[in-house]
Amino acid sequence: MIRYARFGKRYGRVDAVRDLDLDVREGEILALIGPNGSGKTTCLKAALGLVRPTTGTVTVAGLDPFRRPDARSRLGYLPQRLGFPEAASALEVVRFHATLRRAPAGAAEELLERFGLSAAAGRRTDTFSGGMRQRLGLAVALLDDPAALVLDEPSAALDPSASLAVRDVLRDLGGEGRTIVFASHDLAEVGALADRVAVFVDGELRALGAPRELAAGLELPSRLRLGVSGVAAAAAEAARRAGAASVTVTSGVLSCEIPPGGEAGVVEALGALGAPFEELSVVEPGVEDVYRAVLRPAPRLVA
Amino acid sequence: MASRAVYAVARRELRSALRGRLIASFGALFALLAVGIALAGLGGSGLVLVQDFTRTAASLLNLSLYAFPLLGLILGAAAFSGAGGDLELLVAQPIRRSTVLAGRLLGLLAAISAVAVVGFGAAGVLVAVRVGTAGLGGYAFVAGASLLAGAIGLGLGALLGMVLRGGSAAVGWALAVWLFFAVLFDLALIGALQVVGDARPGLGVAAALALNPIDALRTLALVRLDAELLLGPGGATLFGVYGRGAGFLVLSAATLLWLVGPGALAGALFSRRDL
Repeated sequence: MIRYARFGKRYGRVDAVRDLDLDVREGEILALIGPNGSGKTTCLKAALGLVRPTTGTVTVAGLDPFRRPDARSRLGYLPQRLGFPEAASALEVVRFHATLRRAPAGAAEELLERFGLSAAAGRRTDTFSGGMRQRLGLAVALLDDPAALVLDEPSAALDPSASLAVRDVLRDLGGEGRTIVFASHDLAEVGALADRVAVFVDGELRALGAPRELAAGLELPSRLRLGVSGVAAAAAEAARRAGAASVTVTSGVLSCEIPPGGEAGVVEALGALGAPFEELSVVEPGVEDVYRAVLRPAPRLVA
Repeated sequence: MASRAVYAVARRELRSALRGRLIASFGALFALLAVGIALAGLGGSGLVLVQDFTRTAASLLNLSLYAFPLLGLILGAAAFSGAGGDLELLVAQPIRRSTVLAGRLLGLLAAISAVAVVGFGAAGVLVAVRVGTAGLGGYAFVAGASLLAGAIGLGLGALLGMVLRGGSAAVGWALAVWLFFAVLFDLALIGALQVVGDARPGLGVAAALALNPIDALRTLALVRLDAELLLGPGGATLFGVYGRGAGFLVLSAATLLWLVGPGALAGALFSRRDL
């Protein structure tokens, strides 16, 4: 759908993105994560023809989005800093973009309805809350039913309710089979939505894959928590012997990290103590763990 | 489709500009001053009289040739520097960048025209009703020259917006450019004349008019109003030595270059600029 081939972008003396090879697959939700200035936004903008590659190519369905407006008709875009014309109403904004995208008649009203903005259609957008503006931005992005959505921090600066509402919308859109590529600093959002994660550091793609695959590739440990009242010392020792690390017992609760594949062994060793354990939970490594691991000096990993 | 999209962008830009504070306050102030200038004639008994079109045009000339380029510069710089944040979303749509550029410039030019129509129109109606339509052609010429000055300012502002990405930086530089052409250029020219110490300024001073679109348009308008006595040393030399036809030709060509040049350069930059 969107293909980056040896893509690089340089601003003055700064390499914003270096040597990126990445295919955004049709129908997937791909999240770009990484520190500020790591190249996420540049990648998204290149797909929309907003920035020109310094090296390599970026194509959308085989077309160069910088030169070919028809490539951009396949994408809907929600920018990081969403601006609307001064004093324009929501309906005017959506209708204007509907004209540019040659969306069918009534599409503007339908999308405002879909995003719960019908009642505010005549209101000036500069009176909208952050959440309403994001929903309006998503309505604009969905005009003419694009094959893919490119979203730059869709829930940035939103309160928790608005952020969760945007997350629900994205989950629904992903459920429709739409390709979504988005940049985010909200790792919980990324974990909840993304099929694959691309971790950028200093303009380089450091890791790419499904969170579980990445965690396995990085050999990230699972976390175990278990109520061990009365047998704390024995339980801690058994866990250590079975290969657990970072073993602690606080207020009768044992916590430890278990290397990949070692969960069954640790649970078995603890079970052998014959004590009545409570509230066992094993948490697999998630996006946050992957992110922490990748940001530490680590070998390049593309799953 | 391209012309439909240009029209859509221009209409949106015009609507947005007309709703904005800048155009509203600028338009109201200019209309107020234009009507005030039309009323500024004094009768023998000390009564306030309405001036005729020629006097009104001559009196309005300096004000409008300062005001319209300033308005154009600010609008152009703000529209293309990314201030407001909707430029990115617009360029990401399936339309050509040239469509965005043309639509924005046309919409903003229409907004500047609206200011001119309201200001010159209000004063013009007053003069026509009270004094008659004698000298209307010269008045219309001044209005047209003001609009041209606004369009030139718009092109220069757009160019600044392309080069300077930050909105406030672009608008700040737009003000500096306006100050240069409106004030500093003439001061520099006067200083140069003092240094040269030549009572009869030569072709160089006359040619310097072409380097300043405000001076070029002011000179053209004064000649059109048969007010050559008000010409500066450059204008007097150009028209006195080389004649009316040659003077008009040179300054019209310079004005055309000022109109097309910055806009074309802005277009070339915009077609490859990263947003």
